[in-house]
Amino acid sequence: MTTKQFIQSVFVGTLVFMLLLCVAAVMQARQTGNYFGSVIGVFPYLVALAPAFLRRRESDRVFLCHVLVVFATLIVFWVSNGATFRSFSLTFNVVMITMNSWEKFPGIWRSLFTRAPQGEINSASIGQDESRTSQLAKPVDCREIWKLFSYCLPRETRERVFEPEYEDMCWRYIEAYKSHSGKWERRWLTVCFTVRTIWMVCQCFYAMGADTVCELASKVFLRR
Amino acid sequence: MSLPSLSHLQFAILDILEGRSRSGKFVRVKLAERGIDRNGPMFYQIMARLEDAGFVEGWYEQKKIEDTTVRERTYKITGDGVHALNDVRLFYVSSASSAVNGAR
Repeated sequence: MTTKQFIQSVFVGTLVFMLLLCVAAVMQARQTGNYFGSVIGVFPYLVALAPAFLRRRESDRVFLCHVLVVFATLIVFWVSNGATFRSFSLTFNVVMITMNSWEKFPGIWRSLFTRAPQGEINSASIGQDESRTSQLAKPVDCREIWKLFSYCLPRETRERVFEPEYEDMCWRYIEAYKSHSGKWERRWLTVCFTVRTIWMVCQCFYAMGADTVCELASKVFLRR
Repeated sequence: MSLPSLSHLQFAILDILEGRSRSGKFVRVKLAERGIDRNGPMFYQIMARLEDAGFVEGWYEQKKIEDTTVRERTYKITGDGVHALNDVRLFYVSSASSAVNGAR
């Protein structure tokens, strides 16, 4: 196999894979929000790996190259979809199915594939990933994390000043979350409200200091 | 007549709360409409002081927004608060009327 054929093989395989993956991803996202949770989602992987499967006799380099391309592409999806372990294990299963004779791989690859949960790839299990669907539908709940910022305040200030304002902020966060449905928009909202929480803690320190000064001043100057 | 026991800000808050219980958010909006702008922590610090003085009573009310429970601090004026509010009103009215009479 020449270098030119090698590059062409990688290019065509990647292109077909990308196109089919996009179509499948759009279809699945519209229905369930789960890109990998159906047979349609699995199909592009098989197509993408087909050239490698066909040329396996010639060179294992081609196959390994395709596998690397597949994983490199999937990293983007993992990042954008929350990097679920489910998609990770599913990919291993698809690779394993494509390569029936996986025993021929060197030791390091064999151990990698053997670890993949084999029972996961069936239409019953991958077609009904309710947990992921519900996870996408629910708001990202960072409120408990934001609340941790308040523990650098004294207890009295936290309970009397921070908490009511914090509850108001949560209200505003949920309203903003509802009105913006985009994934990145919502992530940006979370970042913004995290900054606001930090700023709110600073304001609480200011309010606490101002209150202490006023109290002292009233004791000194306004003795009745 | 003695000086009022409430500051102008406290007076405005009690005036808004008179009649029925209101959320902290609502009170802040009404204060902003009157040109009194305070950030959240400062506002709730004032409310805490009013609670300490016994002029208002505060509690949390739970509300739901699409399966998400959110608490909201709600305030109600007490009897002492109403009494203090009326005292301050009387003070301002008498001061204003004496000023008008003096001008004549």
